[in-house]
Amino acid sequence: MSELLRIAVVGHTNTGKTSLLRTLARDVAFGEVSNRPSTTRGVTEIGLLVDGQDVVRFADTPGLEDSIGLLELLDRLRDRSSARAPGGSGDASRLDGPAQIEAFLKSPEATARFAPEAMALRALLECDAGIYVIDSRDRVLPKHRDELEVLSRTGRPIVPLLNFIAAADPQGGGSNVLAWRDTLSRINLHAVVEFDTVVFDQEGETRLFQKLQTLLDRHRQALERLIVDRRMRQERLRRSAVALVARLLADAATAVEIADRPERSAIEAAETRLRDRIRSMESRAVRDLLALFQFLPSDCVAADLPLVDGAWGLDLFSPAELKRQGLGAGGGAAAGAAAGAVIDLAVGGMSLGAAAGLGALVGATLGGLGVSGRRLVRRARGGNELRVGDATLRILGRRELELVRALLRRGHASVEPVRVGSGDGASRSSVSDRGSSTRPTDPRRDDPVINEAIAALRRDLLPDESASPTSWQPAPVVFGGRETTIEEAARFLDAAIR
Amino acid sequence: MTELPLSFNDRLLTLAVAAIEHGSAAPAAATAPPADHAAVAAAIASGGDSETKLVVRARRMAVAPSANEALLRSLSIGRLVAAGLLLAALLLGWFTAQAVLGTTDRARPVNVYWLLGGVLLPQTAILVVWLLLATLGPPGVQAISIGGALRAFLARTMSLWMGREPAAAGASTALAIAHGRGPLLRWTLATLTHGAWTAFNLGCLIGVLAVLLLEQHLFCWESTLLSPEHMEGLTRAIAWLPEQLGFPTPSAAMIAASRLDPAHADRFAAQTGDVGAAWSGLLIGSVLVYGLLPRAALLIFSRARLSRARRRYRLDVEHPLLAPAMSSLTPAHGAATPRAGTAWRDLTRETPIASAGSGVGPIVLAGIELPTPAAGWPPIGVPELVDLGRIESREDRATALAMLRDMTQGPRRLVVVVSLASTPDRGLGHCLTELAHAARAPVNVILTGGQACRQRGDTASVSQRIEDWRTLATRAGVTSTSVVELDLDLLTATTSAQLRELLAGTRVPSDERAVEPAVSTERHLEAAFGIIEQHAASWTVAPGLAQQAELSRQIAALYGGPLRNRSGGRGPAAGSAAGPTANHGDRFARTVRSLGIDRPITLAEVLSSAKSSADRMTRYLPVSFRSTPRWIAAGAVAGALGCVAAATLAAPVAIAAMPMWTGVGAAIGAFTSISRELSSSRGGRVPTETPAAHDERVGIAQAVRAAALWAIVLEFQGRGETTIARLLEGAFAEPDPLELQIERARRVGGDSGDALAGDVELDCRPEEVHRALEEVRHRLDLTLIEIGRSANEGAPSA
Repeated sequence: MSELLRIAVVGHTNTGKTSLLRTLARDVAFGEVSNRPSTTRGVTEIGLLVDGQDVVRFADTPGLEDSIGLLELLDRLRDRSSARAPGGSGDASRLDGPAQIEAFLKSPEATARFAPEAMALRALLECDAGIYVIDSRDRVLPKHRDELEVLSRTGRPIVPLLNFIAAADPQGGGSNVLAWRDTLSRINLHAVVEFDTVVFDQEGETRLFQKLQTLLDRHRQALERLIVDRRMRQERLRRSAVALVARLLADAATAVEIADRPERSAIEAAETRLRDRIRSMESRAVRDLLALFQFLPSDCVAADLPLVDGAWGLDLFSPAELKRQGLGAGGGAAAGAAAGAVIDLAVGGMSLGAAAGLGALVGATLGGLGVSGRRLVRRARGGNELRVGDATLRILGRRELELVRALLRRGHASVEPVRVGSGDGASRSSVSDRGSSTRPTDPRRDDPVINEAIAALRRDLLPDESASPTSWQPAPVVFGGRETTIEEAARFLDAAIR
Repeated sequence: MTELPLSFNDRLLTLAVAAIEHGSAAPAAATAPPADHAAVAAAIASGGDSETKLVVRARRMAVAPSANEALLRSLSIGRLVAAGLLLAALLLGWFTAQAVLGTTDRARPVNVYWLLGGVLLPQTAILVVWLLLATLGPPGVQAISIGGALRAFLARTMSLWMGREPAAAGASTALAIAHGRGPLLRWTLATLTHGAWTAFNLGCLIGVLAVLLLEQHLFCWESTLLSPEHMEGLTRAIAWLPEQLGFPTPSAAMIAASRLDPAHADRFAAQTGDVGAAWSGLLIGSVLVYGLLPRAALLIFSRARLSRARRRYRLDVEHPLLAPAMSSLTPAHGAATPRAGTAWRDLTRETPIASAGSGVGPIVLAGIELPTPAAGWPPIGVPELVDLGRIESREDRATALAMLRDMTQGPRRLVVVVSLASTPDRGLGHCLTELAHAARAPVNVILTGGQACRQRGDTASVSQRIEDWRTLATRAGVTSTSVVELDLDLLTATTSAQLRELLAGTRVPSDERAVEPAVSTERHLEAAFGIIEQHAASWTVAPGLAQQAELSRQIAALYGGPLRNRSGGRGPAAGSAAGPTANHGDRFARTVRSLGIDRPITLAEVLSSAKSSADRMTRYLPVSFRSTPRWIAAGAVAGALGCVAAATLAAPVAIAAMPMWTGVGAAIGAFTSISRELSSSRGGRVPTETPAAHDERVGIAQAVRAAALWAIVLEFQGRGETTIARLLEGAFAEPDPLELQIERARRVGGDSGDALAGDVELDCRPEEVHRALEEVRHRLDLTLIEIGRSANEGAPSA
């Protein structure tokens, strides 16, 4: 295995170096981030792991603040050395770039006036390459050119990274990017990476590593492993997230609350209980999603789920009612039909004399199909069962899919929380922390996919009244194949997210 | 260690542990017992694939023993319940056999085919149907089988028996997940089904045997349609297989003899014992061969497949339940390790410069890393000002320092302008220090670009930025009160006067807070709102520009001051009140004069600069305003744009103390509509942000809004742009007070209440206006309190 690849992250102060490493490392707690200068005051290393092994180690460095002064110093050191050896030797004794840096690091200014710069340069010298982070909203100034000149004198390959690319200010940002690219190509830095630490883009990350590959051929394989691993992680995240949403929908679709008496008050009480159950299911799912992506619980603010309607008094013996509720054939309908058919058989048809046996069979079937004696008694007394209607399931599906999308695009350096459900079940996720948000997309765009998922769930799962309200466990009365059904639903949802 | 291959139970344990973890309330890693951390470490060290790591971790977790125990318990319960089910099936078979055989009257012979059919046909038919559906039908169907029902019953009984504690629940979850899909599900169902049927058949067999052993029966068959030959053929066909196994079966003669036929009653009665034995043999043989053996074979097959499925079962590492464990086992990053080396200390304050300075000499102006301000560079023309330019590079700095040193007469003050968009880093600090040292005079620092920063980010970070600049300046030897925020992109009369004082050296103002603007202490806002309500009540139809202008004029009259003086008490609305018959040129000139602009301006100049200043001004509008078409339509923005167009031509601003982004509602609306008419008559292009200018009549609500805006601006003039911005945002933030009132009124009154945009704006009742303005005043007061509070806390908010 080749030796460990080490990369220093350098740049002017307050350009987002620590934010970059937060996003690359997928860690919201790395370092300290603020709008103030000199936030990072030391060198911190963090390694990216593949299969538990360090593949790349990044060093977060303090920002360069006074490059103009530093370049002056370096030039003085160079001129001083050439002045010391006049005559024939000439260029041979004139300090080249790295030697100037070495001389600087030994000079007294390195511990006084230029201490942060010295730290950053020392870190860069110990690394194989450097990423120079640029705030693409800044104008290109002479001090940046001086900075790049200083960095080039270390002799390490440098990859410029244009940060905050998504928050392009319409007035200035766009043209600044072009100016930066122009400046960088003039000094022969063509492998420029565009990135945004707040709006995460898998492709952008891949391109960063690929550009590092072109500069550091020796570490090509290690970086390749990293690229592949990162892609796989993202895939896995997406699939797990979608499976979570499918699970939530399944739990919501099968949740049932009982109203024992036909009076309005009992029904309303049951409705409230159902609403609370669904809400707590959703908040648990949101928490699980955030934990899955390794964000904090405070990174999402969800508005209250508006319960649009609850389906009432689902009559399992009436196929017409079931059809109206969108259950179609299968599941509950089959249960009803089967029960009806069996009873017919026992009573009418062939007097095989096996009525007793058939009766027992009926009992077992009914017990398994969820039509319990208890339920029949309840219905006889005029009680009702409340289930969540399709409209609510759809809203749930929309919200959670939006959240998954937002989380897939959220960089770990984001500070603004994702907002879910502000409005009519749509969510607005801000593209950047600078306040410019995307136009809210049509909340109904996911409906075809969600409807299919709901249809699959309704078809194959039966309502269950004993499911625990807050825990996520599948209901004890599992009719078999619940996991299969959830998988199927997840497949539909995945198609929307891809 | 863990080199042992993973078993199915290991995987179940992993799922159960994960389920228990998930079920526990808070996933706080900090409170996890040390065993758990060790578990993770051991798992990572084991170096296997993801599944192996998960299992290794699960084995060592603190909850593992209880999970294990729960799983074992559930397995034993499962076995018990399954045994019970089989027993029930057995008994069912027995009773079926009894029912079929035993209920018949002893005297009556037993109809063989009823027997065979009753015992064998249903199950065979069910089997065939199930096979068809299972292979050809939709996926959910396989669960709607006897096996599915049994499995459901099994699962429910098990979980009820096991209870609800976390460990038991975790075990149930694990079993449900593992057996919920794929081959495990399929073969579990199959095993249960075939097991049940096998037991049933066994019970049948035993029952039949018992009956036939212990009782005497006669066998017969009867049919109206079928002939003995058919029956014989059928029976022989059925009997073939049992015969192979050695069962006695009826011969053709016996078959013929068994026919229950009234015509041949005697033949039937002459049945010998052999016939009975043969038929019995057939019966028992059939049940065995066509009932028990196939099912038993299927059972054995399914059981084998089930074992295979268990062996081949692999954890789905993407399962959401396992996700937290996976993320702890395959972290994306290692620990963050700080490198040795001490953090530096910030340099202490430089020795302050002798602040007295020479007292005479020119004032020197310099900008550091400054984009060109909107006001241009230098921002105002002052004679005797030495302009060092905008310093960006080393060379610029050297030139500036040289200029400073070479000045024959040392400056009496150095004014440095920096942008709040730049981070105050040490490089800038060093530049500032060098300039200060070279100047040897007191230094003033102007911070510009604040409004743009506030629009982009939150106000708190801008305040922090200002503080950081103060600290930086202090280190350079500048007294903190010499650091002033003054936005060169948004100069007002007050601020440009301050700038002039700084640059012309008439007075040294300190920070804006200390400046006492001519703030009127009397509050005319209530009176102004009263006037608005009066006018609104009097408008029966949507008011035209003239009426709006009159309203604006009356409000302005309350506040008196420069506006009154300017055009003899008639206010800026005078221009548009001239009436539609005045020609365009006159009106235009009058409006221009009433705005206080003295030099003649041509419309062409206005139009040519209108677009660019409109663009620029739009950026500086409070964000919430700029994005609401309502405000654009209200004419306030339109007015502002026109006003700005005029004002920027006559820089500095001529409208005293009024922020740049508001205007005289109707008058400016008239201004822009005039310009639009003129330009369209000349075929020129007109700034497009003024849709309301198309309609001379605006809705009552629009007019009220514009007038309220005007009143607030006049009320708080002199307080500074940021304060007024905050007040306006506080007063008119969503939900818009007017709309709110109208909506409420409509709802109470039972109107349908949709399509607010159109009708509401035109048809606004006086009570609604009154209540809306009350709301606006209330919000203003709240915002004022907030501003006052933050000012007292020392934050440089306004």
